[in-house]
Amino acid sequence: MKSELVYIMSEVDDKYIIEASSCIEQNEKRSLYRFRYAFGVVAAIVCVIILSISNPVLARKLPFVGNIFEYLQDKLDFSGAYQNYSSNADMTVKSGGITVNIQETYCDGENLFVSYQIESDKAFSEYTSEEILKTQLDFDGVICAVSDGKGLNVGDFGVSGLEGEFVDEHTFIGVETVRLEDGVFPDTFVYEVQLYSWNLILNNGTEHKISGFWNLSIPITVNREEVEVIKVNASEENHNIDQVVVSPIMITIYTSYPELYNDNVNYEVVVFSEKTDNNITYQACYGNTEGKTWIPRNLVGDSLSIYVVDYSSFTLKGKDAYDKKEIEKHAIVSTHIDLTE
Amino acid sequence: MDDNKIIELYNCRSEDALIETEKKYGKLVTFIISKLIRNQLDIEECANDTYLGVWFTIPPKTPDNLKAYILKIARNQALKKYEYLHAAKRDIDKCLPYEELSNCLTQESVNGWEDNELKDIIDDFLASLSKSQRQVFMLRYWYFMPVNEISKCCNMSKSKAETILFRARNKLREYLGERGYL
Repeated sequence: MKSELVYIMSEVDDKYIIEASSCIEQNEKRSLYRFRYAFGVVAAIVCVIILSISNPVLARKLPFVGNIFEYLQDKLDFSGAYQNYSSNADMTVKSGGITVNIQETYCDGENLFVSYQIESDKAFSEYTSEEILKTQLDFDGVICAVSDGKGLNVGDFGVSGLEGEFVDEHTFIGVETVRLEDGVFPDTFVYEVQLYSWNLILNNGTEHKISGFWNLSIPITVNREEVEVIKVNASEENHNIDQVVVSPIMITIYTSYPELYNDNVNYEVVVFSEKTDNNITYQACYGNTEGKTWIPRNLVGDSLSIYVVDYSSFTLKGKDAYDKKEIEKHAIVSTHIDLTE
Repeated sequence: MDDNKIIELYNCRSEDALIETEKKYGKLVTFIISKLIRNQLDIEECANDTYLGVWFTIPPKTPDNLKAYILKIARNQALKKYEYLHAAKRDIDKCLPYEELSNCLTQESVNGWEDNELKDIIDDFLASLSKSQRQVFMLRYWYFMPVNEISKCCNMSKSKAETILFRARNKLREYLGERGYL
């Protein structure tokens, strides 16, 4: 049935196809500009790579030994003490010259963090002469959480693929962060991964794909240690801040609202902490009547202030859109949460 | 070269038509094919089949919009190749963004869609979206682009693109439901 829908979509009016293609073409032009601007940097990096190839001892450092969460936990967007809450997984598969090892996992019920070590038989720089993004490795494939024989849809979160670093020419270590598209993770489930390619992200905006097939399956038990569910129940004009879930790595804010925002993106949850007057909302997903907003735990100290705004009710643009005083003035509903209580 | 001149070349059965088509639309053809097909040789084969498809259909056809016509052929060639490559695994539904639209239609409702009514409804639905919402929707479900690429392409955050897609899917479901397709 779904494949038939693919063909129905094939026949949409030409004008919509052209309209969308203009986005792609404009983006290509922007990429080209960025590429030209970065040419000097790329040239320098190519020189370094050539030097490294001519001296393999420089190119291939000692293999990565140690705990990936411990090594990366202070460098990630969602930094935090992953190692204190994680469980060992240690599963390895190899295909297409790439060995994939899942080392550890941590699931706080809302989010699942998985540490990967990707080791290539040949140096990553041999796959392409383009500069490779050093902090991210993307992939194509299917990921799901299986519980009681049912597959639960999982969405990636934060950066696409793995966030981490190349520790040498042959090895990338990184963390994949995922969440369920609906609801929270069950107490136990299986993290199932079927990957078709690992994608080096190139400076020109494209990806170099390394194909293969990697199938991994890891049993997960949720660790709710130091996870706190705070019932807020603040409500004004049918706009509610329902609850806040605070885990060692992430804060998740649950909100609900009337069905007013189907055709626009005016609804937003803006969050400030005592650490900064800048909006610290990292990612959000707003449905017809319910939304979730995520904030890295490390951006919040002892308290946070949450504001629900409808941007159609006032006019603020650019950085002013998140001016704390204006947001306080125009918020439909707000709350202040003290995390030390 | 102007599209009318390229069509003229096809009508005169000049092989320059293929060269000019590749020169003008080759990048976009490769782009859409590569969203479904990974292997470089398969991509090239699909692109060649696309140009051959254009060659064999113009004439008798004279497309109103050559670019859209070529892109539709490229998309269909890529889908055919994708289905062929994945036939054994039967995972086309699982791998395409169409999994996300699975609640929008029932099996019964797509039977007999050839009467173009459903196509017209989807056109009407697209017309009801704002330009930016429509571009995001089309990039996802027509061009098969991942959300992170769409967000870069449209200069918006990933969460905003996700939100637009979520709302558009709900709206499509309502739209089809109101017209008896759900």
